[in-house]
Amino acid sequence: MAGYKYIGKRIARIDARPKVDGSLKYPSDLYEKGMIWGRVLRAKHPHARILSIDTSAAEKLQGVVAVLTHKDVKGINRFGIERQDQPVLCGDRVRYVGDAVALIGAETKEIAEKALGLIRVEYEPLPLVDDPRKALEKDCILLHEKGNIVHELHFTRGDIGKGFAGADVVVEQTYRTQMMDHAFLETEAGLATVDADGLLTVRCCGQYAFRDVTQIARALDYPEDKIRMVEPYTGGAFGGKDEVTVQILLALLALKTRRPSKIWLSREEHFITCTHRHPVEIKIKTGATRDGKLVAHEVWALQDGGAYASLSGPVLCLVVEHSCGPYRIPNLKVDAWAVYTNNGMSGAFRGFGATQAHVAMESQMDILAGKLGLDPLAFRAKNVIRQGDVFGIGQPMIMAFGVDKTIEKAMAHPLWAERERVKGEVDRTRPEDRWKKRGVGAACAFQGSGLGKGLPDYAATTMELNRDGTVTLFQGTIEIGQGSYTGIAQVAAEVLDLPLDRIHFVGADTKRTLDSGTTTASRVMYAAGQSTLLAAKNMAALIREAAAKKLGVPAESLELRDAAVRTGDGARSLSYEEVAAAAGETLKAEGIFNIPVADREFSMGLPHLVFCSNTQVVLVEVDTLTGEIAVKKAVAVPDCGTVINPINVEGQSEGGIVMGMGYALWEENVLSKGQFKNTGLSTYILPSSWDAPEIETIPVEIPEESGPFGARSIAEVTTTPTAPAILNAIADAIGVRFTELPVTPEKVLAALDARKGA
Amino acid sequence: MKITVSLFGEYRKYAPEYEFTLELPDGATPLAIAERLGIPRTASLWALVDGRRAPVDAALREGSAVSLFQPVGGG
Amino acid sequence: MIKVSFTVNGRRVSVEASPTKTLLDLLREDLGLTGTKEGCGKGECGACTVLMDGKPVTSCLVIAAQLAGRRIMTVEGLAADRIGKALQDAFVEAGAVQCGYCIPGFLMSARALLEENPDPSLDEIKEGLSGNICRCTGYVKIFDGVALAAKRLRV
Repeated sequence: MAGYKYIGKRIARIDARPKVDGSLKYPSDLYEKGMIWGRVLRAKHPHARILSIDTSAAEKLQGVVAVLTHKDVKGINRFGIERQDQPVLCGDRVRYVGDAVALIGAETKEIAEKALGLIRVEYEPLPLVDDPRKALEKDCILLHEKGNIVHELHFTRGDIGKGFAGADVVVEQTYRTQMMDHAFLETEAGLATVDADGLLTVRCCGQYAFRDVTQIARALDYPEDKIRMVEPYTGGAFGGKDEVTVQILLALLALKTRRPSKIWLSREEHFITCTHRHPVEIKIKTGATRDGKLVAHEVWALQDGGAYASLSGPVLCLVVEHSCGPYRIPNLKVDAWAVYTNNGMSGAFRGFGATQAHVAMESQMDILAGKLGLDPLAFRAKNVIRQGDVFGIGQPMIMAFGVDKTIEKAMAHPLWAERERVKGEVDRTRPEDRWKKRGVGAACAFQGSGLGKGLPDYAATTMELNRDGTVTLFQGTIEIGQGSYTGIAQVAAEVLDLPLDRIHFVGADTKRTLDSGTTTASRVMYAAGQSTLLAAKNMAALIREAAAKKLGVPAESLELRDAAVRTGDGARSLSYEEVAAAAGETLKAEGIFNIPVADREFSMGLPHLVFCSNTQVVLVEVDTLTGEIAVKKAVAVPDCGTVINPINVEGQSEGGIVMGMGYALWEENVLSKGQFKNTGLSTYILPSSWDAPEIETIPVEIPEESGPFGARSIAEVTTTPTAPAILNAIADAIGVRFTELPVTPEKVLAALDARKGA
Repeated sequence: MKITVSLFGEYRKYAPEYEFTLELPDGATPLAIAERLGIPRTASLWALVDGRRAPVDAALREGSAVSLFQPVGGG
Repeated sequence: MIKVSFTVNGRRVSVEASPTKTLLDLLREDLGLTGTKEGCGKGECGACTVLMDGKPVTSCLVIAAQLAGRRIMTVEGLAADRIGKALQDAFVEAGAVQCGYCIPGFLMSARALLEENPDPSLDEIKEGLSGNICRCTGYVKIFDGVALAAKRLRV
């Protein structure tokens, strides 16, 4: 980016060095003298009444410090981001196999494990609700007092009947997406301590330290001002650490035993308890005119939320908001439900409902293009929302929005423009390539930045000028791997013209940083970046003022250059170290930013106003002998506004694409009668180094005025288009349209056999 | 002093309007507003004062904008 | 309990432990070397990879009883090692690190790869890292990091 010193530059991450030398302490790396290990007894029954819990044998085991049950919980003993319906420790009933029933604290993890086996719980099985359709039936057992529906949304715009009457082509199709695991590499972990004054400090993984304070205070009835959460770094999250995981259990154990308490979930425990990506069934009927204009669109969606609410409601909102794609469609009808079942838990996961919605809508777009005989991307370009147009649920797209530009750029890329040539480049004389068929597919996606209408959505940054002329930047969001601490530091560096190694970054700590909102919803670089920009500008003003006093010149005549403040002619200057000394007291600045929201509210969290977008093109190779599918190349054209750091944007894009490949081709939490069938990394198949394709990321940068230097965020929209692009490429390669994820080799072979038979 | 109050989510049912002004005695707090509206004092009660998260017992100043809400989240 | 002596990053250590305690737990709990990570505890993710007598092993599958006289190298020992240092620098520059939790394991696998094969092709890099899982990066910049280190080490 012209004229900038730090913005748009390929700058190495500020946290990379301590990560490559092993010195950065992740939550699971915390050990303390006198520490005990906590282990959780899980229900194992998907739905049952608890008749009795006998902990006596476990309590007698040498080395056991505490055996805690619901009786030991003083507060509401419930948690949940949106509604508090999930027990910390179950007392009378369990609703999924991962429900926590008892908590052991022991001198060693081996003793804790042994003690788990000594707890006797008597259960009486209750009818199993393992199908979301069953949950909606009138005579179905109620999983929660208020019924089995977590949330429902119904929406119409225009006249759907008229719309379809005017359509020349109508496509109706049902899509099914599976439960998916975040599979971050560091499972849920943390360490809690209580000091002599009763201050509870929990150092753990998470995505919103300030809300964790409230969740602990609420569940355990412990004063909020005596709770400190420290959660700056974690080993991956992707939404899976947004809901409370180990926080309340850690707090409970430390408060009861007054010993430093460590909990670290096993990989198996993670698979069973995490808030997966929701399985969603989406039925869509879409109509278009002969000349390729979308005229009517009807959506019916059913989302399996699992045992407790967590974020099922807000996820459903995004299913609805994105189920019409980034397209102009005048006549709409959307009906969507999220229901409770006994199928594990689902919640926040990168894409947050938009992922599922785009699988359906972007497949639908290709089917329609095929029927109309149109180039699939040209068909999209014809209908795409441009700035100022009204999208899906009726909100005008008033902020910077460049999905049209991403489509244009993707269409011009040789992988799309010359796809017939690229597909022909298989060497069929090589035995391993003889059965391979190539296809190219594309999809585009949009995704909201921030929490949407109906909730305050703020970010706050503070900074201090230190005696040595360095700056300490305090930011309450979390570095979950996305690189935003680096991007945020770059913003401060640019404003203050201060090298990054002279900015000390203090991350999420509820006693040191201000509440800066959630680390979710593709909002951090945009919102926390902008609050940092404002804080840095305020700091720059303070520096100018202090220097002006010392130099006896007007503050307006001073500029900040090379870590010093100088008069316009450069004749006189003060280093920041000298400014700090001259100021006497420590200079402190603050920046507050609230994400702009729409005027009208459709439902809490709907609509969004600020969006990112992305068009992807993928080349797949289908082995018609084995059914295996490989992605050979992927091109991504994201629009996230100004790119603050190209390495980080490419990194997000590459990671998002490979995650999307896993979603499309291999990954699925398989459940049978409420039991998880694959709870290890040998049976839950993640993309490996062998699967990584060649990836090109070419951002279009449509600057957003309200963001730092024009930036928005990128996180989620990198993965949203990948799965549908792959489905479209498979259809192009072998002429088979898959509508259920993941497309495993077995499904490919069965489809090819069925076609042969027919 | 005059304070602008905005209510979000569940708290909206405690007033006829989502956004309104209140005349309050000096030193009033977000908590006092909640009490006047009948919003129960729980750990879920959060306040934003002039766009910045503030303790519910923070003293307000003339002209402040106060938002009362429960921490939720979303995407 | 057994007493077992081995070297870690060139330093001789002696620990008393149950014979079945894993090398991973010994490193993290007894020796305070938390740079080696646990991702699955079953040898499936590669996060706990260390070098044992120069060869990569998943330290969650090595037990105390196997350790007598062995030479162990962990991520904490890489900075003092020519190949290791080059890899660390290249990973930082190439953007190979995101959440970073898998990175110590990748670095150890890459260290073993480059010692054996100073000029690996992309496929050989993929093969050398195939026992390590990363969820953040999509692997691309990790490959770049290994290739960059290899290039620098060859001159």
